[in-house]
Amino acid sequence: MENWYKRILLGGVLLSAVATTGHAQEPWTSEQVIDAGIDRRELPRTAIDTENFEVGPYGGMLSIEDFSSEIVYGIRGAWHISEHFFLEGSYGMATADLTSYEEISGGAPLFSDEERDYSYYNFSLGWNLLPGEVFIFGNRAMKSDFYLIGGVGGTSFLGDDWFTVSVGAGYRLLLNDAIAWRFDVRDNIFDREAFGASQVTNNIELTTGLTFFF
Amino acid sequence: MLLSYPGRRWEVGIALGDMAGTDAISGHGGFHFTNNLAMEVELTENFGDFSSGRMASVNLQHQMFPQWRYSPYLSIGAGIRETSPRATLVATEDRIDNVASVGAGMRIYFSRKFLLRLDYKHYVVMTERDDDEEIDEWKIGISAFF
Repeated sequence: MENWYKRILLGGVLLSAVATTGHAQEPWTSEQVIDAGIDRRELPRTAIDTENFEVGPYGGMLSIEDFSSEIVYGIRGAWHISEHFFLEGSYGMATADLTSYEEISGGAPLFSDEERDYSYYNFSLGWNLLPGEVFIFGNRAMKSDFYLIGGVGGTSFLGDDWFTVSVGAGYRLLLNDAIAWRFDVRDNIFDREAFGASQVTNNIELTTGLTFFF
Repeated sequence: MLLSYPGRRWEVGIALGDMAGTDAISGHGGFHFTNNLAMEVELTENFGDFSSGRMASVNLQHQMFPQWRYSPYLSIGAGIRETSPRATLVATEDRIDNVASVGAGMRIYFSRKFLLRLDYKHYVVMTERDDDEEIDEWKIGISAFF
């Protein structure tokens, strides 16, 4: 009697297991009841990709302390370590005019023309403090960075070479994947003894230029 | 992770420090022949109260333990140095001398291609005077592999 019950119960369990397995093996299909009718938009990807090196010429004005403001031009190259930091080297040249004293006194010039050649180089670390985008031409987004930059280098001026600290800030606007337009303000600070006593001079330059990424 | 370092060959970097009491800046570029041995070209400029100078030298570097994260090295080098006394000093001329150096340093690896370098060099400047001039230089710098 007991065996008879067990057979029925076990048989029922086996049947249900087979039925469940059979159901699980059926291919699952679904039909979309409502078609939303969305046309997928193809977005062009013109993002800035893998170029880490930047090089280009620049030009602008350099205010040489005790002298007049002069045109400065040079070349710079940068290596972008990450999205936030870059190392940069630059070399620039200018020619100083008469000092205020020479202009007013009208006497013999204090320095030769050769000594008035101003050239400098520096190695700097830049920090892209405010990365962003600007929309100048309608819907076209252009990547931009506002950065702080500081470094050390050397300046040749008035027949001597001076250890120079440079600090500043700049703005980089990427026109496309490979070309950027830059604006820079730097203060080139060095200790000068050309007039006898040692004197800390601030030589502020304002420059702009195009750079090319590769 | 650091085992990938010995495979890298080209290195460039900059350094800043003190050369006999003057401020010194240098740039260097090197090629690693083997995991232990590298040859490096270094350009240095220093700015003192009484003179400034420029120096170009070629150095041979030996890393004893290239796989270490803090990797010490020894170096020997030779080069040429131009010394320019300050223009405010009377009746002085630029002079060019040969230099030889012996040094030691430490490479500290930060990431896959970036490292910090601590560098000491002892230079002998072979002047035309009776005594050669001996100069100590301490620098800290950064380098990158390509």
